[in-house]
Amino acid sequence: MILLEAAPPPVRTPPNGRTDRTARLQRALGGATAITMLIAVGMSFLYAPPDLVQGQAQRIFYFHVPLAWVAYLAFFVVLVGSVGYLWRKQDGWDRLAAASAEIGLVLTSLVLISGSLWGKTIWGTWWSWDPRLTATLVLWFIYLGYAMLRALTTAPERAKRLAAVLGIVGFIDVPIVHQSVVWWRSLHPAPVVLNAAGPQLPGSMLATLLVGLLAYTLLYGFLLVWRVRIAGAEARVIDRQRQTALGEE
Amino acid sequence: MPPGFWGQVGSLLAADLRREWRGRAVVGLMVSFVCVTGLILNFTFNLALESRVATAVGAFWTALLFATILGLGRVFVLDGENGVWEGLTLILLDPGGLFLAKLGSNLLFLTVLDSVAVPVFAALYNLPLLHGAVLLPIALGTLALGAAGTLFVPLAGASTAREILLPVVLLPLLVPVLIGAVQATVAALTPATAGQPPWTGLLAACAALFLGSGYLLYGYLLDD
Repeated sequence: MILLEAAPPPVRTPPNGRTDRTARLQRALGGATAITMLIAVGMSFLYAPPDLVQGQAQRIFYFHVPLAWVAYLAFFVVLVGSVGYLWRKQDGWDRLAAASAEIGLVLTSLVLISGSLWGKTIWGTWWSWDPRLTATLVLWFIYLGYAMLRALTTAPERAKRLAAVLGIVGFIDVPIVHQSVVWWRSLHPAPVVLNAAGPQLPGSMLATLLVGLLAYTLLYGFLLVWRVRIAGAEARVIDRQRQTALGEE
Repeated sequence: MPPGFWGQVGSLLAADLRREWRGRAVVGLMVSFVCVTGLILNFTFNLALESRVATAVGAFWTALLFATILGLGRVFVLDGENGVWEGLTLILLDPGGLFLAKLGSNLLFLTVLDSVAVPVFAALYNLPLLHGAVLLPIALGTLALGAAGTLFVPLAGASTAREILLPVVLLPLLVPVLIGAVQATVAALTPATAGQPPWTGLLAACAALFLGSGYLLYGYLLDD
């Protein structure tokens, strides 16, 4: 009886045309990611010159900075999915937010790890409580909390609404966290690309960075489409199991 | 004639206060918790430092933060045991009003907590907290903590891991509140420091974020 009440409207298997379209999109993104990623990695090791001061260690910049940008994009997509879900009440929005949060959390972990490797070489320490590191760590914890809330809330329909509320408030809180830790203390290199005087990078370094940015954005898109498709398949399996269980009663 | 918006908010607020007055189930525990945390933190810090005031203010806000999270979590559990949430689905008040009523009673509990915590920390940590200048930071900090707690307690409350999930979700979001509250209080106690960032403005922004999102989004936490 409880099962009956909790059952959401049945999820129909999407018409084959749509499955084919997302599968094709995923394959196209996968191919584009593989090609641009090869170029990006090649440029960051072979084309971009070694840094005058930091030497070879600076090359981690072509990995670290695009990851950070794409992580922010991923959390913005969580916001979009969350607003979309509360507004339209369609599960697709919720799956988009959930998938993007998972990927964003992995990307932010890589940002923290790559930053830490660079810091050990250049600053001589794995960690410093400088504003951007601190804000990134807080960001990581906010979306860790989001992932745990999703994992630990047992009522599925409720979990989607709660996660959406957290996805919205969490994202709005990010700039406030950032400003608060900037005021709180300030060692991280100043921004070299988004700078009032224009990019302060030699052309070859900027080009390498931009190709990296494209490669990692494509990687994010590929993973996102893939993860959303898996979540859709999971929902269909659960729905089918539920229908089978109801049929047996 | 049915009661209007504020009439309904008032009756819900009064119901919470009446329960607390009869049962004394939350405020006493919060006050005891903040005092014993003050005792414990004293053993973990070196108060002979030059930064004694900043350390002591940090201990004060840490104790208040944890007392708030645990106390408001307890209010939620009591509401659940008494079937309050089921009852609330029957009233016509919009969810924003419900948030304001819950916030009102929570803020009154926190005010009692503050009024005990301030003299206790002033005495135990030899802090000049009994000073008009700290009123604004404490009031804004309490408002931000109360609004965030009122919004996030039901959010984490649907989980079986509620007691530990709530701080895991809420503490990272409260980083700016804690920074702003500690720095604004220290700045109020040491007026010589010029050129400080606008700490009370930061606190006000946090309070506005949690008040606004609580008012607009509270309904999504409840309707089931």
